[in-house]
Amino acid sequence: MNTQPKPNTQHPPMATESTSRVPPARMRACEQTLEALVKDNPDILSALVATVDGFSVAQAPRGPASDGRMAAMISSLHALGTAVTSQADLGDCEDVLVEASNGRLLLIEISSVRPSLLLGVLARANAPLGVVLYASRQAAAALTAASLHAV
Amino acid sequence: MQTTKLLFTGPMGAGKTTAIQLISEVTAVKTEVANLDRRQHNKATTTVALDYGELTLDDGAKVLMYGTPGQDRFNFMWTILAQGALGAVVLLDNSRPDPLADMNNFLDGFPDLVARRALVIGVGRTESHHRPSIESYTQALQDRGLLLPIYAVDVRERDDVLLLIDSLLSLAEA
Repeated sequence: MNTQPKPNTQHPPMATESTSRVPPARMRACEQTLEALVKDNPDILSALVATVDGFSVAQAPRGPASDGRMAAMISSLHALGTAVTSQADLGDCEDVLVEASNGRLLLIEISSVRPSLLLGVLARANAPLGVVLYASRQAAAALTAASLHAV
Repeated sequence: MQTTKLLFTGPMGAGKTTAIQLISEVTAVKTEVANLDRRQHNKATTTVALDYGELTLDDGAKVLMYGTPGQDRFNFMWTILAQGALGAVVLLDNSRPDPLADMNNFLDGFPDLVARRALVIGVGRTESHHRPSIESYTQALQDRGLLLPIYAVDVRERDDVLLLIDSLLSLAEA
C-alpha cells in the first residue's frame, strides 16, 4: 500500500495549550496556598493545582512552566478514579493515592469550587501518610476559601 | 474467541465518545469532565482519560473499543492506549479550522500504527463543510507516502461507525 515515500514536511506546529480560564487573582491565591504547603512541610516536595480538564492553575515551588503535562495527567488520573469508583458502586471519587518507590502522589478534588479544581501533592516516600493527608486537606480547604474570595 | 482492541482517536469534538457510545453493547465507560477551554471547542464536556466500549461481530469475535482524549496535552494517553491496539479510526471534523493539519497531527501521534498502515480516516461534517475535499485528504496522505481508507461519515449513524470498524479490521487482515 505504500506508494512513494517522501520526506514528511507537514508537521503542523503544536498548538500550545497552556492557558487556563481561571482568573489571575484566583491563580495568585492558589499559588500562595501551595507555597505555604510546601514551605511548612519538608516532606512535601511540590504541589500543583489544575482544572478538571487538565490545565495548570498554579504550582509550587515556582519553576519553569514544565507542569503542563502533569496537570493533564492529574486530570486523567482523577477521571479514571471517578470511572472506577462509579463502576464499582463506591460513590464519588474523592482522593487518589499513588505509592511509588521514590515517593507518593496524593490527588484531592476540590469540589466545593465550581468548576472543581484538582490538588496534586508530591511527597517523599518515607513521609508519614497521615501528615501528608492532613496538610493536603488543610491546603484544599484554604484553596476553597481563596478561590471563593478571589473570583 | 478472538478479541481485538481498536482505538478511536482524533481532535476534540470529532465524535469519538459519541461513536463508541452508539455501538457499544455494554454501558460505555466515559471520563468526561467540564470543558473550560471553549476556544478549542464550544462543547460542555470533554474526555480526559479514555472511552471504552465492547462490540461482538457476526462471527462472534469481540472488539474492544478505546477512545482517546483529543487535545495534544493528553497525548501521553495516546501512547498508553495504543499499546496492543490492532489499529485506529482517526475521526476528523471538517468544520474545524484546519482538518488536514489535524489529520497529520494524529498520524504523527501514532507512529507504530502508521508504520503498520493500520488506520482508517473518517471525516465528519462534510455536508455542511465541503472543504477540504476527500481528494485533499487523499493527497495529504500521499504526501506522506500513505494510502489509507478515507470515508465521509456521520458518527451518529450506526452503519457509518460499523463501516469504519469493518474497514479497519479488513485492512489489518490483509
